[in-house]
Amino acid sequence: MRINGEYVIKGAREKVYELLQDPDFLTKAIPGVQRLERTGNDTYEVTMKASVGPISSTFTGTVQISEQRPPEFYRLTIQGHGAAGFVRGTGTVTLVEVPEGTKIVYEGETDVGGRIAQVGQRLIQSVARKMINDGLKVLEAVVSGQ
Amino acid sequence: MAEKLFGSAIRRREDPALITGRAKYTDDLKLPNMAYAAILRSPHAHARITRIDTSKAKALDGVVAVFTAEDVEQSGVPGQIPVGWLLPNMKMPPRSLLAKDRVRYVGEAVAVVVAEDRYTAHDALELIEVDYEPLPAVADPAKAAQEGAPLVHENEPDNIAFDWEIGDKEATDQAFAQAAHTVSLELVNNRLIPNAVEPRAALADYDPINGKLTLWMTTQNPHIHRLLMSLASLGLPEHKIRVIAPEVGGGFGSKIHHYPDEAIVSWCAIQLGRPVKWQATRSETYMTDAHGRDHVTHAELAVDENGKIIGLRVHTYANMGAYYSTFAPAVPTYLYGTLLSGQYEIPNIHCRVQGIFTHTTPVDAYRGAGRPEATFVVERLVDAMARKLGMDPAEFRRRNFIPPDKFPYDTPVALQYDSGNYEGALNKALEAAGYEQLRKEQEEARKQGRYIGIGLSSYIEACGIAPSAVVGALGAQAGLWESAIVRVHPTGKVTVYSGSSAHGQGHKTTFAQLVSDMLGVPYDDIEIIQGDTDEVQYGWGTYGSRSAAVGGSAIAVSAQKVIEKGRKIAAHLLEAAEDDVAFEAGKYYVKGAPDKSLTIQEVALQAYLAHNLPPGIEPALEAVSFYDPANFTFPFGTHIAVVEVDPDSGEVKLLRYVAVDDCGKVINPMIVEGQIHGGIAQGVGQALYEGAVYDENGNLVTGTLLDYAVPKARFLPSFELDRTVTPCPHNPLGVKGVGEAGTIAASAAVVNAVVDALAPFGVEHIDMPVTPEKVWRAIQGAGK
Repeated sequence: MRINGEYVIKGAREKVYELLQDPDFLTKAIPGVQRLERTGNDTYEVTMKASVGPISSTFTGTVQISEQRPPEFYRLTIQGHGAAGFVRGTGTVTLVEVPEGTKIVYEGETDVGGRIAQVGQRLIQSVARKMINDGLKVLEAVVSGQ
Repeated sequence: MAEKLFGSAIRRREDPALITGRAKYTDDLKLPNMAYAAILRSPHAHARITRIDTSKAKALDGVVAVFTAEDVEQSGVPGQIPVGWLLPNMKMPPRSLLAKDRVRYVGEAVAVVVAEDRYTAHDALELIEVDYEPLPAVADPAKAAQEGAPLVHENEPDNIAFDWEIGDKEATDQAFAQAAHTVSLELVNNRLIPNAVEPRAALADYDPINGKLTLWMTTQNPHIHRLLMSLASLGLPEHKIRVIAPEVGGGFGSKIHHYPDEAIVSWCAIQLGRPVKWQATRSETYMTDAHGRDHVTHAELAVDENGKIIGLRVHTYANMGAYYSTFAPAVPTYLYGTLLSGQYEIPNIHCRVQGIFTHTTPVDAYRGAGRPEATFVVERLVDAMARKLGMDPAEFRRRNFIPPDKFPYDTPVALQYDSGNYEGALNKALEAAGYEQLRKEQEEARKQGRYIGIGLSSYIEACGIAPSAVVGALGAQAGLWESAIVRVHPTGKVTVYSGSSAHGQGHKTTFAQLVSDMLGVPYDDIEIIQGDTDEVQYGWGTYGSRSAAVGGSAIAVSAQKVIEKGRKIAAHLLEAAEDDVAFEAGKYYVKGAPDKSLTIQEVALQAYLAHNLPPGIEPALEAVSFYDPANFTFPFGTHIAVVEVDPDSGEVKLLRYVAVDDCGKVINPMIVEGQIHGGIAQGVGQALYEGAVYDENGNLVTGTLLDYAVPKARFLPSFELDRTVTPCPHNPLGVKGVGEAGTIAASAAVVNAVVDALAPFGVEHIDMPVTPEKVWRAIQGAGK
């Protein structure tokens, strides 16, 4: 499954970049995150609850950050699993300075399996998009609030 | 007995319990101290299992035990799921109850939780930690057959499970070389999910004092399950296993097979010394019930200059899934290749079938089992050829039918058809449909830009598969006879024990009808017992439309034996010679002196009292028989579908459906019609709506009833049914089978109708399910 999109935020690119790698901020911003800890320089451990259609499940997994070029680019490699299935994938985040502030361009490719794939296949993309948008709104609020 | 019950559309005695909710299915049964099992299933189509940690699940309050493959292994049981049909040179990868190092399809069982209640058992599944190392997977049989495809069984050189052929290749190639015209089609026979209304379930109760397991389960064939449980899975001696089929809510083949789950539940009950129940969820049935069909086929037909068929050539990749299900190897071979002669005289046929392992749920018999696939190939080719020759499809069929005077007819693909009158059924169907008029209407409609299509399907069915020696020679690890005991009690009431095992077919009604007529005993005085290995002598069960032809014939033979024994006793009591005693309508009487008579009830009482029996006659009045038929039975018929296609949206509307079937003599017309209705609905379902879809990674993406479209009643018109009656010449009842006929005929009839509707666009084929999108694309893509 491919997920991509872009979003423009009124705020400095450095600030956006910093927040996007701040565990405390991410815990607040991403819906359902229960725990997000930095366990290595570029590695985070995550526990989150996610609902796709009738399926609701807790996932645990890791997020690895690589190819960092602050404040404009990084790559994410995620893998997670829970009783309802698994997710694995990679994605990139590019931050571009634009007159209105910072444009966030994200692109990703994920494999989803297990019960969420069986029952929720048709819904996964819209659920993922909604989670990203909710997170971005929080990001916008935080950035513009400062 | 005034009226004959044989042939009478009496209401089913099964229904009052079913429609008032009093019927007891497996999940309705409760035993003291019963625990509940839930099974952890692989979310990966292909992965190595590197670690399983059950400690958190075990620690959950209410969990009784958690077991993995290692525990099963350590218990020392055989722990295997065997295959019941062997083909020459087939690969034989092992299959165990629980996956150990590797999983090979989404849904494969990995661990089992037993808990005090069902909710806890399911909650505990979430606490089992399994580390999987995902591996590449392949779901499509044609792709899996290619070199370099990910291997399903890593110790085998490729995914080709078997490479089977039937017919004469050289002669067929020669026929094609000499043909005046040939047509060829690439056909995908879509994968289907059975969708029995009751998901599979098992309740196992082990008595450690006498070492006996009682297993209530959703089965079409309790004795086969007992045999395989004993030999391959549990290692318990056969006489220490009792398998009972309580009410079973449909099967369509899916409850023939021996799955790991029921064996796992039984093993848990033995380990724990307490009853354990498992009820599959609907999602589990989608992942684990053996799927049906899934063929990728290249097929060709050749005719001479007179439009007579001279050759048929077929190559098929048949998806087996990740492992062989119980009778899987038979379905795309002996139940498919042997049916490719259809209703036609085809002098040369060659068929090659490669069974292919893929990272998908195992595939096995599903209503029709091989025969719908064969009918689809033959009837699509026949229509394609008729179009190529510019001939009416009915006329092309007529020209090539096996004529009635050629029976018994030996096909070039091993079967001997015993009887048939194909043109008779075709003509009746054409008449019922008003074929000539329909063609005119089609013509008129086209002028108005409306696209009506008329599709024919003249099918042959081979059911009541037999005799045992022949199917044994073809690889069956089973016999295909049936047992029956007819027991007349001292009061003249009757109990019949049949090796058939109904799961919705209405045997208790139809079997009682035929016994009532034969013995002249009131219908209500007859009880039918089936589906219990401790009560029934033996039985091979209910599938392949065999219950009336084989199970019913066994009952008829036993009833006749009872009549003959009664005659000896009656003759003795009436002081007449046995030859002078006639039996009619429940009464023995001396020929020429009808008032010198005894009822069968009076004879039964005397048989039990045994105060005055003729010399050499044992007490009691009952008989057992083991009936092994001389041949299959060969039902046939012609179905006609009329559709209208909206060229803008691609939507297909089924306007009419006419079916003329010949299933021999009919015991209960209402039940026969019910079978045809259900069969057509499933065949139309395959043609227009249903399709199990796996994504590139082997995820089943049609995993619910939301994503997998089972037809609803409102999608279907009122079916127009009629019959011809060509009795089966070799069984005592003259009956054939009808459980699968509708499914076998319908998908070809509907697709032929759609392709016919789209003829003006030059569309030559559309794969099933014929969705609006596919129709629309076909219209856009075809050179108008």
